[in-house]
Amino acid sequence: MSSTTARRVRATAALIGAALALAACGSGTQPQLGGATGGATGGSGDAAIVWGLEGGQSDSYQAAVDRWNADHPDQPIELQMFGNEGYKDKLRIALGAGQGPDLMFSWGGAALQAYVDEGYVDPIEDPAIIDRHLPAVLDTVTFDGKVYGAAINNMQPVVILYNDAVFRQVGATPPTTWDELVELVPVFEAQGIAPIALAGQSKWPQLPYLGYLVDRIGGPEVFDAVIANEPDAWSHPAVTQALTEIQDLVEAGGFVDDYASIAYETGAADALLYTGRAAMMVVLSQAYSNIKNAAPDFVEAGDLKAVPFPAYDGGTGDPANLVGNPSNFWSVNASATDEHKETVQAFLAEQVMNDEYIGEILDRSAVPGVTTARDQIAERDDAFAGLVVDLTEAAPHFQLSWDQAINPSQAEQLTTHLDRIFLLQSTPEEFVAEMNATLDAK
Amino acid sequence: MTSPVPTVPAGATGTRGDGVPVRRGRERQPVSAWLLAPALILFGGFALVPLGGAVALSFTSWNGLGTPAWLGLDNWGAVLTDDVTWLTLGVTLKVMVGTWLVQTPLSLLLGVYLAPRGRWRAWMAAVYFVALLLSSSAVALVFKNLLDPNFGLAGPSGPAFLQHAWLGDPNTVLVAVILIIAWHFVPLHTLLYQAGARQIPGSLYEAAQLDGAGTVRRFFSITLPQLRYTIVTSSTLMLVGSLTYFDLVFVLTAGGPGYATRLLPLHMYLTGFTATEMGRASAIATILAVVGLALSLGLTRLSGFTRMQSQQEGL
Repeated sequence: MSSTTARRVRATAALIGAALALAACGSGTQPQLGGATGGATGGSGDAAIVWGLEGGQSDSYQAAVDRWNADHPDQPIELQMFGNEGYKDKLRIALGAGQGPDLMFSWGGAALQAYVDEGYVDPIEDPAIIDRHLPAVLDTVTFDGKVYGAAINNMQPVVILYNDAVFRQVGATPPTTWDELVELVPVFEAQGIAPIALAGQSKWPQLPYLGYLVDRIGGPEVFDAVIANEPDAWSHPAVTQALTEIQDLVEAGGFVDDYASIAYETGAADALLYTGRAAMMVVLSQAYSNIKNAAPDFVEAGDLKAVPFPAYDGGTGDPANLVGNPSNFWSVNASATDEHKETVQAFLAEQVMNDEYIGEILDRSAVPGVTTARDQIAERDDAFAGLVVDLTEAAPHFQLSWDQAINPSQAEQLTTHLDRIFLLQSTPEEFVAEMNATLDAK
Repeated sequence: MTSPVPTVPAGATGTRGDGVPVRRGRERQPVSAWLLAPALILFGGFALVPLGGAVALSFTSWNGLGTPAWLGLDNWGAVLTDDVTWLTLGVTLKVMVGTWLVQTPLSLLLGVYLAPRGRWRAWMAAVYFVALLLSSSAVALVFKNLLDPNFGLAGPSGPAFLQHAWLGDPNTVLVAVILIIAWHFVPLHTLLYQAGARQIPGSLYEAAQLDGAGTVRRFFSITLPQLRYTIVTSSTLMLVGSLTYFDLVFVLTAGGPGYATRLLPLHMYLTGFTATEMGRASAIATILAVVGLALSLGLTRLSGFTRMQSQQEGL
């Protein structure tokens, strides 16, 4: 019996020893800043690592990196691309663990600000980079007077993309007011065409409806109060009214029947539009580039057109206001090595938003948010790019997408509860109560 | 599944000569407890230490960046009073029961069918096993596209009985998820049952056949009782395993529509990594670990698995 006890003691000692050893290893990699372990990993050799997101302009990221690597073989850069789903989680975990990329893809707004506040992101000070941005774009990445990101793609206001062939077929004109939009629903339904395509499973494509309607009904102040975490900010009547309009549209059959099972990444929502099974889509202008890549013939035939989100009769908001993403950005990791910081800063100045880069983006009918693009835009005569330029120049207010503008905890609640509104599983009153409870949550 | 030292069946003591079994035990080389070290180090380092970390984190407020701040019991209060926690626990239970009800009969019948030797059966077993080798995310992506209500098999071009927004309708999405999980995991359990059925001595069937028992009678009177511990093993794996379904459901539905497929592990992930409330997510993780532990302990106790008596006494 005593030998069993001795064995147990030895086994326990081994276990405790091992646990302590591992715990000791663990404490060395605590999420702390400025540690000796700083810098990116996961790449081959000593290349600076850049993270990008798959999307309409991702070919340009690769082209820019290729050009850089050809010119600077001694300062290699490696581009790693990711899908939209899960990228934000991955970035946060990587940064928290001190394993982030040297140059990270971001949306600006509250999410980036959280990284800035915790000291994970370095400001960009090169005037050559800062000065080329349009003010609305720069605002998204400016905190305490410093700039923390360089725009890498295009201005993405949310617009209504529509299939003109389908509109001609039923003899309809694109809506200029919300009431006209609602009146179009039975017109398309009668022809067996879904009025609006919506990728409901991804949840974020539902946000612009609320963002725009609240802005049109009550003006930007309503959401500004939410951003400022003012008590009961969601109780503004504009929110309830917007939610009611959304549920009325759902009940009227405004959206494609199976929208709750469509994820945006599969391209099914875009496909509904260009195959003529749906007439319209309220979506980031980015979708235009996506469709141009997926169905070039359809776009060349001139059947893909766009109008701004309609005005709302009786609303106090300016109908010229925009909701969307002013741009996406690359931000510099504060824990990168000095050599890598130098490499990526030079890369941003030299290869991002140079004439070649801008030209590629314009080729996809997308408009980069930089002043240096003006000449090339004037040279080309692209209807969609022209619309985006007109809209952004005329907009008194360009609201960053709501899920990026508030902290991630609130954003998760927002997308979930808005999903339940679209599914008619909860009422506007319940939504307001649930969202008010998230205010002031850090 | 089998204990390393064959226990002498109760009541059999002394029937094979007094004292002999004891001496036989002594003659063996003493096994050093150090052999346990690798397993203990792995288990301690990758299970116990993180578990302790999660419990500690559950008392803090941490968004994944910077230093966690002590919060006391706030997270626990919030998690336990949140309707969503109980709702997701309910969804998890439904999936647990559903997967067991679907997978057990299927894999039992398939396993028993594939057990006898034969080229055709071996070929089928190999082909059938492939589903288990695929990554869960790949399986989820394939089914997501197949079930796409516009461009997939569930669309206008597919067969009529499939035409439904399986993943978009809160009433059918759980059924779809359970069936897809079954497609993915039935091969594993089939393998267990196949191996179990192969160990049943043929003499039992021969004797039964001589007594005039038909196929059905032989299945219920010989195969099922002989597979008792295989059923317990497979069920434990299924039930406890259903507490860990994450990747497949996350890719397939991301927990939606609404909360329809938000399993507890998915709720934990969304709370921790999307809403960046690591403290609260850690509290959910602890609940998950406790439920899983209680479930597997309870199952092995209830089923008599721990006593592990031979099913072939007297053969």
